[in-house]
Amino acid sequence: MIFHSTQLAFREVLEALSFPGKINLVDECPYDMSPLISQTGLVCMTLLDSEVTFHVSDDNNEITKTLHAYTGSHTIEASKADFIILPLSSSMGVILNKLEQANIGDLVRPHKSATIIFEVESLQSGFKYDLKGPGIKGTNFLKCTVQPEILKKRNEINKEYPLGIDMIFIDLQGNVVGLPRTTQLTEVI
Amino acid sequence: MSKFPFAFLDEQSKKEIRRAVLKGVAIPGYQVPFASREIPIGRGWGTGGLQITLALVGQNDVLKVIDQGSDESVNAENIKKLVQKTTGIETTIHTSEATLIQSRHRIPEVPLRSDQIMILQVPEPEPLRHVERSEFKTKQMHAEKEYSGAYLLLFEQIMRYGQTSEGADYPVYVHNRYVMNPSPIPRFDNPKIHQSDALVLFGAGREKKIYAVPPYTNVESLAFDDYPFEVEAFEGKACKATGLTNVFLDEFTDEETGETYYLCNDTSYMQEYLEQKRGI
Repeated sequence: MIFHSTQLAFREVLEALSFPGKINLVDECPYDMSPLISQTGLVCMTLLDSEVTFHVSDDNNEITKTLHAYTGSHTIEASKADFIILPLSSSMGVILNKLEQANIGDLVRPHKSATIIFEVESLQSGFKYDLKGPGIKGTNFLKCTVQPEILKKRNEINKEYPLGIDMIFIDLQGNVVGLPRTTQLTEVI
Repeated sequence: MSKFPFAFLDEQSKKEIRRAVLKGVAIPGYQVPFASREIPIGRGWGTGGLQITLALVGQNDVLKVIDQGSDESVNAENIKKLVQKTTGIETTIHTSEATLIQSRHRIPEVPLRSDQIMILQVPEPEPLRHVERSEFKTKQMHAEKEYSGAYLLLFEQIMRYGQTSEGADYPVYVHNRYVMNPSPIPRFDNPKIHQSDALVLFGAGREKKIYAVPPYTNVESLAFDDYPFEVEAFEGKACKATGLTNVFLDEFTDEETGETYYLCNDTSYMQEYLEQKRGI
């Protein structure tokens, strides 16, 4: 039953955001969510409904239609969206552009900021980043295929804590890593 | 079959609570507003904690519910039964067996692990409420990190009594940004939230707020350089049943002799300790 799947997915995402850098595994979505990674579909079904809005970064309306059909959530421009979904096919330029536009909340309502659901190739290999902050005992690290330029942009956006964006990464194997705005990230060269 | 949905709440209510929990984790100590649904216990009786529990709970969870250190109080029993009857999950009194621990007024004596989640019931989430009645204004104060009012309250207590008189719900600074009410746990439990291995969630049903302290987060009790924070002292006192001194104690009076004695407040810990001692 889907509500057991979404409950489990929620707990994986909660753990991922509570322990930034920790790799959690989400189950496949019982429905066909392609071209999204199946697990991205399940995470979207867990968090989206008609009370929130979303934006998909590419021009492919297929994903937008699928997400609307399964969740009842409405699409809106990136700057106003509660959730921004960046499918694997998104180009670097598009990603940087959408992050730039993302809502970072305001000082009275920092929780009104966007959550980024970010599809990546791998969360186990690639560039290496050091992580520090709440949820991390000492330091942790993240190895992923996300380009340093993108995470540099993320750091820039999050420089005025408590304003900022929170990110949920999902890779092709269904691994999930959370990166809340509190995490200080530096590239290891 | 039960005519209620799994874990009582409908899926849309759970989604809303889950989103609030995630934002709470991302902004430690910040009070995230949420809709707070009607549930079959009165507001002010743990509805905030219960709604978080219901939004989190799954088929593999094991639930422990405590009310001021006791697993067997009416309130704890009823909450446990409601969750149990609508989910079919196991419940326990043993802290180490639980995956979710909902509590009113205490954090267990047994240290929590990173695979456990602590859910505290909150009557008043706003640490500045005694200073400012308007929610609109307190939100602004949090936005501006304007916490002189919170310190002023403690200062006035020191001027009047020579020490801070805030017993339970002693305010804390979270991640050096937000001042937060830790719910009415004794000061004795405040240090347990600092750099805790477990995620701690707070739910205020009546006041419609959810907030969180992620694991390994700095949590500092408010204090002054010349009046440092102190936990309750139980010098020279010990639990009558176990002899333990490093726990939070309740004071009792023997009705026949009039003698004062002390017992562990965390009754399940006391029971575990005694059973182990007797080799059960």
